[in-house]
Amino acid sequence: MCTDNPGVWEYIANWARKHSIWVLAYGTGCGAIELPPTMTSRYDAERFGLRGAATPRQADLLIISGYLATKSLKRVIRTYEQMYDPKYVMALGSCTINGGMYWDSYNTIKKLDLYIPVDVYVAGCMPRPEAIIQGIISLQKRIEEGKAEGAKKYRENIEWYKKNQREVLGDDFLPDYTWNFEGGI
Amino acid sequence: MNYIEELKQRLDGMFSPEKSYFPKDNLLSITVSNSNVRGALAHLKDVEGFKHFVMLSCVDWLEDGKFELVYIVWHPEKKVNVAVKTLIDRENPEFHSLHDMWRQLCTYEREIWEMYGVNFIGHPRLEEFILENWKGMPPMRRDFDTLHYVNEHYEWREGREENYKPRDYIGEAFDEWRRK
Ligand code: SF4
Repeated sequence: MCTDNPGVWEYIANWARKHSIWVLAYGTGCGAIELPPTMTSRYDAERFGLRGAATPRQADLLIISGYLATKSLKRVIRTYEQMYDPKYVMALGSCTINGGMYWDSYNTIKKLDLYIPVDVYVAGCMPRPEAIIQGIISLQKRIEEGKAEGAKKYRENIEWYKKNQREVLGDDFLPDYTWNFEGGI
Repeated sequence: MNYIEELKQRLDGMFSPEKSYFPKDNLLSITVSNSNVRGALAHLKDVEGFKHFVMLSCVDWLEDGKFELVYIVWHPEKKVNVAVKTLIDRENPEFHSLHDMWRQLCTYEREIWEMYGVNFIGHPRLEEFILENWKGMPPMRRDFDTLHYVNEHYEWREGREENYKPRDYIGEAFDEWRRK
């Protein structure tokens, strides 16, 4: 391992990561309906190296497709914490940005990035597959430049994220073992 | 006289509803007293043949201080719906559970208990259903102030309030398009 020049290795690794993003599409909101056409022959996202993953532990990219009720936020956090590094989050639709049309709903969160780090937002209600692909491409750019550091941010600011999560979910929200073990999240 | 009108006359005679009318062609709505609900539903199910239970819902008449429970049943052969309605007090709302007549009422009653706070006496399992850790007023009541709740519990992203109305923004183009 060439430790005195990690930049090169990092560069190669990022190049490889960029071309093999495995997606965990967690269909929380209406945006989930845009993912099948994105993945299948019409828009064929596999040409960008994108493909579905069966479980969080095999996935690199978590696509959150729309509004999150506090109940599903709990599951999303759990899922996110089960994913291995490197991991990225794409938030689809205006609901994840500012609540969208559920702005005054009693059980949907209004700002996703308070609870988990988001690497790329795709605006729209709902975003078309072209927009999703655009989002993927900009995510790939960020990965290549080494800027998609959401997981690192989460690790470094875990106290802050946990505080925010606790605020909406209440105290008995998640078992500690999904994040509090040796070696990180 | 067709089937549904005969049915209306029979039910009027038996259960003396406060109100019975046809909101739609194949829907008969009768509002009966609390004690007649079970009788009316049993009659419809066992004698008239309304085998299928469609749904139970709850209407919040805030101004009158009442909740209205609406039981809808369906006759598969005659293709007719009947809505059996009853009014209960909004303060301390209570009603007897009818889960023994149709099993699916368990779920409906549990949901209404959670969302409106109606206590169904005799229900086997009135416990948390859709919400998690909910404290305070049931959220589907009309006096539950969602905006107030949201302001207390969530953070807004700044910038939302400055947004222009789409109608103003697209105004001219929209008018032009309409004129075409
Ligand atoms: S942004 Fe629109 S399409 Fe997406 S989840 Fe919200 S309401 Fe549904």
